[in-house]
Amino acid sequence: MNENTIETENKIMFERKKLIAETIKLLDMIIPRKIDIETNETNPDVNLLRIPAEKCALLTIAELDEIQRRALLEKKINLVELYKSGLEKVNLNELDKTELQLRLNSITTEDFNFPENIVKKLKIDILNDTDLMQNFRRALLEAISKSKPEVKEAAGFISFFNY
Amino acid sequence: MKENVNENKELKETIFVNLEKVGEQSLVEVFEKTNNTINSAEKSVSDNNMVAVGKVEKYKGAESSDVERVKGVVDKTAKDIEDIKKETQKEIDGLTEKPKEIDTEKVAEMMINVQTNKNEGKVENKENDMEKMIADMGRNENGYLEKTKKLYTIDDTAMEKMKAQFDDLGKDKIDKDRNIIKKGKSPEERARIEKSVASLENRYNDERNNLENIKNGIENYVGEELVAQLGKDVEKLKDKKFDVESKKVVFEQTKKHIESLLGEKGKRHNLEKQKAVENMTENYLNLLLKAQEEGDISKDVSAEDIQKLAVENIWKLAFQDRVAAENTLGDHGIRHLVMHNIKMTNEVFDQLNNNGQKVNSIDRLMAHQIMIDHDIGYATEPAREAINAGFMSADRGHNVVAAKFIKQQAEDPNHHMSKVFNGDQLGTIHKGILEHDKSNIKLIETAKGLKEGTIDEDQARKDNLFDAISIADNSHAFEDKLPEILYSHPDSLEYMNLMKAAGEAGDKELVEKIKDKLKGSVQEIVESGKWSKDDGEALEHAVDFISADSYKFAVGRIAGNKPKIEIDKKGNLLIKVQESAVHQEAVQLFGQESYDQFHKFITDYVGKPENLDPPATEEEIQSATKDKKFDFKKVIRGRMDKGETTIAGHGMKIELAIGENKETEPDSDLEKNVRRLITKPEFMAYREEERILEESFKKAKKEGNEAEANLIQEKRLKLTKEYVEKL
Repeated sequence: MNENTIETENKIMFERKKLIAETIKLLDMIIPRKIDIETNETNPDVNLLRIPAEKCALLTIAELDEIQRRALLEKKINLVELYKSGLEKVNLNELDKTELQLRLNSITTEDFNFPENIVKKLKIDILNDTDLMQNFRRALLEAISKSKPEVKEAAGFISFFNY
Repeated sequence: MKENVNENKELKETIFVNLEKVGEQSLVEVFEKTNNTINSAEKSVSDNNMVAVGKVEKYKGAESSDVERVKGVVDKTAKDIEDIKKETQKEIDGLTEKPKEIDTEKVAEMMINVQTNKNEGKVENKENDMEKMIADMGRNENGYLEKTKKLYTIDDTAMEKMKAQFDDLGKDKIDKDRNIIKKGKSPEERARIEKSVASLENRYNDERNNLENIKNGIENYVGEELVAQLGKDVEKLKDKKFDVESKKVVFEQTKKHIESLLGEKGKRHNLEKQKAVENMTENYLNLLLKAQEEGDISKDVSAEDIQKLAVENIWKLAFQDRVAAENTLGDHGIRHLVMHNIKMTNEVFDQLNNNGQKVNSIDRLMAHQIMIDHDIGYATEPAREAINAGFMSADRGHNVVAAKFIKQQAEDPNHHMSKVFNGDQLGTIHKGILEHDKSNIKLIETAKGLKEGTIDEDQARKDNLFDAISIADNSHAFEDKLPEILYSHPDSLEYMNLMKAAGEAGDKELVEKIKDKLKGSVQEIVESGKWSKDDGEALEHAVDFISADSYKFAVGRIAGNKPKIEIDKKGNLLIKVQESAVHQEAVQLFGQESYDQFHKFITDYVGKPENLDPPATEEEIQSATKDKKFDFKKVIRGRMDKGETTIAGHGMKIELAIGENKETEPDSDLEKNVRRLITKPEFMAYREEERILEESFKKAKKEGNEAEANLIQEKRLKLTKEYVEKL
């Protein structure tokens, strides 16, 4: 491996780590994962919501510079805003886009305290899962796959290790 | 005892007959005197027997002089007993006084005490044991134990350690249910295997663990051709002494064995390991030359013996590497023995040397030999057979089995080991192997002792050698110590992930199908020529060990990498562990589980919670205590949970470099494999859907909706099956 390749590899690794750390930080801020003391498990509703959210966060953060990223982490955005930000970055047909926006708009401030309500409104769990949510997830993956290597790797790590 | 009295009517009658003949008081005195003397004599026999049998039969540690001494005591005591009996009888016969009232029960009891002991064969059996033991040690008389008798001068601590292991593992319950059981074993075979490994004593005494049988196993593995080749190699060096010139020949000839076992067209193909073993061999031979210059190895040592030593070391390494590749235990092959342990031992020596402590070439040479042999207990047939049958804890006490292996070489005057190394050196190698997992590091005491002149240089060098071995072996916990299949087969982690999904959905058939696919892919790699047939066989065998749980275990062991050692002039040990990039990410999945080895390493070294710096607080101790049982590891875990990345105490400090601002080592090949897998588009898509299904399943279960949960599991299985089909 020549020096240039090593340098590129190291740069990707450094960026990847930063992206993972910032994505997790943002997700923990928006939709924290808490462990149920009785079952020692995390809440499946939260986990279901985090799966598309992690890609939305990653795609959003990847586009920002250092200052903008810091501002985003300080700004109190909510899950709906994060999903909408992700929606802007994917290639989804207009009908699906409109429908998803409608679902997102139906989420109230009150719902943020009850992740199961959001799951229900978005129809994200597998038995209620619609083609729309599946299309959205696929579109997110497609956008990730077209991104820079560090973004692709960061998404892979987050998914594989189920952060 | 009263029962014995009643049962033994014959003896009682004899006593009463005698009582009629003699006066009561005198009789009691005679019996008491006799009984006390006999008891005392027998106790002496018994105690000495226990010590000697313990040392020689059980722990193989007594000196030959101990045996002779005890044998003398036995003979003398047996004679004393007979003499006392004769004298007693004389006294009884000579008594004229009529017996008065006597405590017949008491007298009978005393007599029966003696008789019962004899009936139960306590004395005789011990004597038999002694005879057997002495016969076994008869080789002393041939002279060669004279040279190696130092082997038996293991200090009391060592004896205690070995004894403790026997006591502990003698009761060891073989853990047969935890892991997958290999197919194809009949109940009879399983019963035989279980019995053979039921305790450490069984494993130790198993004749398959004798030198000759281990040697045969290794020779069978390397094959007749290489065995014959060694004969020819030795022939070329006939009557030559080992020196700079003959070293070149030895090295070139040894390289061919390495090539045949690990090279591109060798028995197994692994160029990385081939290079590492070649370098090690050259260093080993150079150390021999330097040790000759320093007067620690005889200049009369023959080149033939060095050739045998060098080649057999290679054979042992290749064999251990092959056995390690067959299963999914942590690595005990060349990566561990050579690429980590020997390298790390040298680094410890370098540090000590930089601090002005003397390190001779013989110390480094002995460290090489210890590392080559220290884990051979894993590869011996009883452990190998049992582990392959699913009795995973059969590897416990492997250090004791390895120590036996070296001891038997040392006992043979014709073995090249005992021709090259002297008795003291063999004793050191033996102890280093036996205690390679010790945790009482003496670096500080050694540095202090040297400064104050309370210990001499030889002792310091020896203590440092044992410490270097232990630090090197234990610090492998900080590297990726993974089963060979994960290094060799780039896609094995993917298969493990699929097995996890299939296993969680309860589809054993699918788990087996995935295993078969993995085996198939192993074969494809063999057919492509990238791997040898032997590589394929070992790895295919290892696939049998993969279960639905392996994925979590394997990823959890992707540890930090490249620990760096620093030792200051006072003997304080600093280990800097730079986490690998993947581990920094992986550890978040499994939380602190990944640090289990790390926690064990620290607690072993620090010893007690009060030795921590700062010492463990009452609150920490309480929170680490459950059901009155204190778990020291929880204190360490608690500190790390609070974000502490430095743990110190008892002259040892471990720094864990975690976080964004620390420099990270470039990814290893293994890590590159992980990166390749997680960015593979098909896998990413599968993984995405699998996660949604898994969480939906949990949700349905949480809500008590079994019907939905079952439906989701079906979908999950369908998804995994479809993915598997495309593999």
